[in-house]
Amino acid sequence: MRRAEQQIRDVIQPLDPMRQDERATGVPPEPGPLTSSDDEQSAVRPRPSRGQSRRRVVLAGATAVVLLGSGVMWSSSGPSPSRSYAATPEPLTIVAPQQDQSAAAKLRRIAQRAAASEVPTRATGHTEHIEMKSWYLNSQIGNDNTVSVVQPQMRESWRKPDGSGRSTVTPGTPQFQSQQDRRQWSSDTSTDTRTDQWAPGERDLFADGRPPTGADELRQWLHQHPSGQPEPLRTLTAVTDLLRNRVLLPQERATILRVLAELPGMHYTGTTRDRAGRPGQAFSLESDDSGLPTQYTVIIDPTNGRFLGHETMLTTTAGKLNVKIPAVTSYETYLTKKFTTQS
Amino acid sequence: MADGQTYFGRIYRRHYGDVRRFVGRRLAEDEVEDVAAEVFVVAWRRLADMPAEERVLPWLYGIARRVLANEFRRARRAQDLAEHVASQPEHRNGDHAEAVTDRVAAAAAFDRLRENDREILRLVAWENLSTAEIATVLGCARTTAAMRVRRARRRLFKSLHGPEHTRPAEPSVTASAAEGANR
Repeated sequence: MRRAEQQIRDVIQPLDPMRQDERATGVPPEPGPLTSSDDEQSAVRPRPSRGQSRRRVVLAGATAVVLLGSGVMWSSSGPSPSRSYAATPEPLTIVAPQQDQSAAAKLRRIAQRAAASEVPTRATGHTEHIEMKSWYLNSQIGNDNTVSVVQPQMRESWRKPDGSGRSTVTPGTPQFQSQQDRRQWSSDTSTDTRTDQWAPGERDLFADGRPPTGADELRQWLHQHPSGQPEPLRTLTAVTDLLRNRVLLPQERATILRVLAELPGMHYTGTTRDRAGRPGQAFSLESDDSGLPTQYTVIIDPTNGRFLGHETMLTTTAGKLNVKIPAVTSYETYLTKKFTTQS
Repeated sequence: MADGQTYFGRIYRRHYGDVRRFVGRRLAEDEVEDVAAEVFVVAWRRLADMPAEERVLPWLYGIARRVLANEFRRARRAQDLAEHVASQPEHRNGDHAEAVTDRVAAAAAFDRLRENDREILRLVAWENLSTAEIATVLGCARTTAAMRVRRARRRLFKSLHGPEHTRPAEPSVTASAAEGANR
């Protein structure tokens, strides 16, 4: 038998199409604990690991800077001698592909898997439950200095089928660079949990109906709200707004992925692990429409198309912000997205 | 769970490259990363069944075959071997013409075989598995695996030395790739 095997190897082994791959380096992040059957998201919890206390968020200040949602918008006036750098989260560790790969093709394939994933399951009348962890770099830029604070927050929301719902937001401990910054900060940094409730029809951001499962219809639906942003940022921002507010069914996720696949400038960045420690693939586009060159990244589980989170990062210049480039300025991580009978 | 995760992490780091190459030998390059990731997702789900470290690679290959069987419905397969060999730049730069011809001929002979035989040849030559390990990958008895290795070798040499002929009709790719997995 060994002779037969050796004869086969003598002939076939030199033909191995993956011989060059022997030298390949870079192992993507390993998979971790995986999904429960009813959860759009992974059941894994955030790892209290590296940099959690160092992760920051930027918030816009009343003096000159404004940060909205996942986008960073600001204007500046006067000189800005920053005293020290705000410590922003480490950029994601992304293992780039060995050769360029088409983001559109990859997203369309993930869309196929999303459609076939059968998660999350839904029963008529169930409530949508979302648990999200977020960081935003909040900065106030004055004439002679920039003050930043980092304040993570946990947000949970429950949306009933009639559009009514409630949410709780629990801010974490604010982190300032210095006591002087703390004194100068003029906005609220309370850590008290805030609860909000709304009746049917009181919320208009993707609150009514299900997202369409046709690509053209979904684009129209995403653009139903006015936006000052040009494409492709407008569509990407609408998608992240949607992700923040709704639990998505498999076909809905698939359609969103197909819409993202068509966005000009969208490219595949590589494999990574999100801020909760879950493996995913990163897709990014760059835009300076917010005022500074910014990379917008969504992290997707390639096996079933779940959106794990999204991030924004300044890539080439920080303007007047007291951060070192590259600087993560916000991220949102979806820990739970499921249908539940509890409300 | 912590021990399981540690063990899984070690297996992942040690064998990711092996699984990636296994997948890359059967699927187009741009599909490889996703499918290799899916293999380890399935492996994680089946952590309780994961064998001891020295026997885990054939088990991972078995999972990879089942994932590939599902993926073949929508994914592009790797190009024919002869096409791949002929496209290699080494064949255009300083390679002896005779050696190039031999490799192309061997690749063409490989391509002419049925998928079942090609898979056996891959497992022997590229994954460098023993007959016992091939039996694990295919989910068949060791004696069956040994017989299939002998047959694949015989057909390979017949294809190498015999008159050129077209590849015989074969069962569907999906069924072929999944063969043995359900036994």
